[in-house]
Amino acid sequence: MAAWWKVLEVEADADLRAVKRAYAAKLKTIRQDEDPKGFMELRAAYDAARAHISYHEQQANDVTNEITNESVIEVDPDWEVLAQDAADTPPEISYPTIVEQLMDEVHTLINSPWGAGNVGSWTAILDDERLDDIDVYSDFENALLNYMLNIHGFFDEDANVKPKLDLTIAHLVFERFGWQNNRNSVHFNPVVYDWLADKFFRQHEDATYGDLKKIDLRADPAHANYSQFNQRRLIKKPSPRMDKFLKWFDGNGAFILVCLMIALMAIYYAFSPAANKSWDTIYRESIIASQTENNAPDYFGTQKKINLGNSIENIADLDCSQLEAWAKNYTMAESFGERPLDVPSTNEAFLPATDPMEVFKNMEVMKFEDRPANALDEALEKIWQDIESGKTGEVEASIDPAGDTLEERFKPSIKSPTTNKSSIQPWLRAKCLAEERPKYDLTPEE
Amino acid sequence: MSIVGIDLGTTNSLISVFTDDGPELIPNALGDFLTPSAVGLSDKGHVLVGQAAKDRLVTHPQLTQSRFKRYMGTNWGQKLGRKHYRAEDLSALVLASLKADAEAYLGAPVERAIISVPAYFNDVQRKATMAAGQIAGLKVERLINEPTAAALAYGLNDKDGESTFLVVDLGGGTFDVSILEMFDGVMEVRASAGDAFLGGEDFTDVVTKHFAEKLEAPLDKFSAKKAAMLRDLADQAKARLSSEHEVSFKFIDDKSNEQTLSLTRNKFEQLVEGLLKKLRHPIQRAVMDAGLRAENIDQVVLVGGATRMPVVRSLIARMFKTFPVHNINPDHVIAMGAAVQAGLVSRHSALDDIVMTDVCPFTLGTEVAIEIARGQHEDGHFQPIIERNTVIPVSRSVINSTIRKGQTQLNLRIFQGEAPRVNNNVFLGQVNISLPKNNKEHEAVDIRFTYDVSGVLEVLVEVLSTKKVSRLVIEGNPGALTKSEIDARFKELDKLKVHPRDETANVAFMARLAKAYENHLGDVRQEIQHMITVFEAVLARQNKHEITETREEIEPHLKAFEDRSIF
Ligand SMILES: Nc1ncnc2c1ncn2[C@@H]1O[C@H](COP(=O)(O)OP(=O)(O)OP(=O)(O)O)[C@@H](O)[C@H]1O
Ligand SMILES: [Mg+2]
Repeated sequence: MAAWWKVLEVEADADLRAVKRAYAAKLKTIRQDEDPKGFMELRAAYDAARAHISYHEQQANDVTNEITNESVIEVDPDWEVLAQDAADTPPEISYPTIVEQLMDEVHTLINSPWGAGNVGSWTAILDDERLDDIDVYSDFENALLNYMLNIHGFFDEDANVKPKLDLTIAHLVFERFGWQNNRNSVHFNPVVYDWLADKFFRQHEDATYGDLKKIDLRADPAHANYSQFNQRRLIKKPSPRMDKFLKWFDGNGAFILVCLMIALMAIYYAFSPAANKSWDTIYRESIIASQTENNAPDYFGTQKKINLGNSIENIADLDCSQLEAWAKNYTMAESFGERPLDVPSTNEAFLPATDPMEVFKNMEVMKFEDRPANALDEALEKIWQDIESGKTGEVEASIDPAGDTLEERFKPSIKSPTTNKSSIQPWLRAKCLAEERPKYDLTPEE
Repeated sequence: MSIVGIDLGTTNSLISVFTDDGPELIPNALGDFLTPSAVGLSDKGHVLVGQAAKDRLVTHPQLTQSRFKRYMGTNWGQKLGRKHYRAEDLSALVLASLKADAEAYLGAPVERAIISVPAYFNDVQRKATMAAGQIAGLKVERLINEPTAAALAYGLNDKDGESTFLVVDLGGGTFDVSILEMFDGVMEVRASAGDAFLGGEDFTDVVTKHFAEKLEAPLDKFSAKKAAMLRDLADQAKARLSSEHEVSFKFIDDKSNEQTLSLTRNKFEQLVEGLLKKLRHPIQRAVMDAGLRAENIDQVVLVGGATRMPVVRSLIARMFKTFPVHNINPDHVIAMGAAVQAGLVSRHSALDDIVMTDVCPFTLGTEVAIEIARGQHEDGHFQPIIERNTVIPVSRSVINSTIRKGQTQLNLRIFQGEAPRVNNNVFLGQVNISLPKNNKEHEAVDIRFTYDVSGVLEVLVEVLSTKKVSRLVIEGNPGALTKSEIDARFKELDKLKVHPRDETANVAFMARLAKAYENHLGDVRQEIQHMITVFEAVLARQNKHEITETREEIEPHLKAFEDRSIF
């Protein structure tokens, strides 16, 4: 087969944009149904080009990123040196990430006397609201997987660690992340799956997910399936140096590795733009988006003002924690529900046409002085109801009334979830009454 | 002659065509774009399709069927009248009715079609859909994955853009997630995932069960009519809760007592929590398979009637920290996309600069035995040949050899799925291959899997020593029809008497009256009975103008009664 740059008719050092353009142009001349061969050749060239480009991109990336992105099983020879460096100079982390917090909980749980089989506690972690976010979820899944490998001695062939999870919990974890159905995916090395499934389920003679050690065909290279399986399931054994490194850490090795991993992830997180899209940003966006949405004409062609406006009025004089809780529980749900759903809609109507920040700034909000007397009680009541239905978490707000920008004024964040209303109500009340509440004046800044 | 696009849904079906002005939906005999996927027999034994059949589910549960898409590619069957129908047959009747609508609208015969299927439909279900098309007398040019169709409809609005978007399609019976990348007029599916047995109807079932519990009667103790009635009301209640916070309705139980049932949105959300959890996985997996993070996804698009539920929308919003988009009516978008695909296949000049590539959403492979100790083998292991989310059309092969020397038969079993053991995957079919007797060495075969643009699998096996190639028609799956069976069914269904198209409106109206009668008591029931008598009398006089006039006269009164029972 011809080299990809020949098939695509581009320079061998073409960038991704050029490759995509060339591929698109060629693709339009091929009928996939009538000339599958031609298509497959073009596609193979395109895939090769992309792999080539992303390889070079990765080479250029900084070392920290590369390590964090790499799956743990691909043990890099330089790893121990880097690990050593990282251990010598602990990174400065100002705040724990969500995944870190969750992994902390996992770590505490597993090391507690009842951790191996406590369905309630495990379910609580796995059902944590913070895992709603797809990025947090996938980072947590990865962290948990790596953690499981580490504490069970995946890198140390000699260590024969007993499963630290009961069968029920192992099932719970496997099923929650669908690991049993993920074996063939690109981001999940089958070796890892096999090893872990073997660890948890063979001990119990539970064949649910297959007694997978048997797939290892390296013992018989003459077998017809050998090359195929071997290729897909190849695992790099730790180098002797790595081995020494692990021994050096002795029994604490696993724990130190986890700390390192978390530290590296924290670095990655601190620099990743995804992490910077904070909850308050999204909640604010949610208010704005729904506001625009609800200005869409309804069935009768009239402007439909919904109770969103009222909510904002009441909220304005409360602290940010309530704003957040409201935004989360009401604005999102209600704005969807209140709109007659069959309204033939135009594109513009549902997309924030103007800069969301502008819309927000221009919203007329009642001043603190004018608030209805019982607004606080009403809001507390609402939050209380939410807690009762298990919806909200304990909220922590940092408020800077003197802040120049909106971002500086609102900084709510969700702490660990609590479902205990008797504890949260006095807390909220005390907080709302004691704090010098900012007087929000959201008229446009000149 | 134009190719039509068909969205053959679990609850609703649509037909469309690509014109110079873009995709266009075709109305049915009642003037609606949505034709309920329900089939029944009229009192005279004629086949009824659509709204009339849907209403008769309540009044004639033994003579009517719906939600059969869930049984495509299985041995499920149901008697209606004297004949036994498979899911393919019932689907074929829906397709034939849509075909008739299109012919009436276009004024020309329609023979070629693109039919949409859930991305997560397996090979057997896909072939069953093709078979249904053939039984209906259509040449199925291509199948298109539903979320891909949706993306085509959306993508057409912005063909020069460069973006990545995620389509969430929660229909009546199936759930699909696809991630697409668009650049330079190429719409490329990056990953698909889904659940072929999760949809809005499951939400209805949960609500129905809840009401049955409230009535303190297990569902199977209800008469067929009452069970159908309760489900119908539960379905309406569910839909209402998408725009209201509480809904109540009147239900007449088996003992002719009028009961009032109600449900709040909060309670509903509690009831469906388990179903919501099931939505997470496929979404997460598609995103991870495509190697993306939330920030890389420019838009999340909602498709399918069940995405109207606020709980579903806020789940998606929470997952992606962004508001999902639903600019195009979620009920129409797939049919519109199927029309675009029809335009692409027939090389419509308006679509010259658009191409679309799709993927195979699941891993396909064979069963192999592997050596667990020297000379000792264990079967039941899955050997992937085409890995999930590979761009199609694709062709991949592996070489396998026999376990024993001198082996003359090879039993090849084909599976689809992600589990390491075949018994946790979907069985697609099997074939036996004869090998020459060879006592000296292991015989080897080259197994080639080819997955075409419709997502249909073909398997070629070459015995390396003899160069003998067999093209395998995968048979032996109990759910799949063979070619001759399809032909026989085509001839049989062709003989069925279908209710005359120009009377559709009247039959549907009568079914609606009968259903309202069933659901009311006392004076109201009397009044509905009166409407029925009047309408029957007018029908008997066969004056088209008078019939239409009477229908239009009665309609608002009937509507008022219907509205009174759900509030
Ligand atoms: N307003 C609404 N609120 C809640 N659910 C709704 C609403 N409108 C429609 N649905 C549900 O949407 C489902 C039908 O959606 P749609 O027509 O997209 O499915 P389909 O195409 O027939 O099915 P599939 O694509 O799964 O084969 C039904 O379960 C219906 O109850
Ligand atoms: Mg559909």
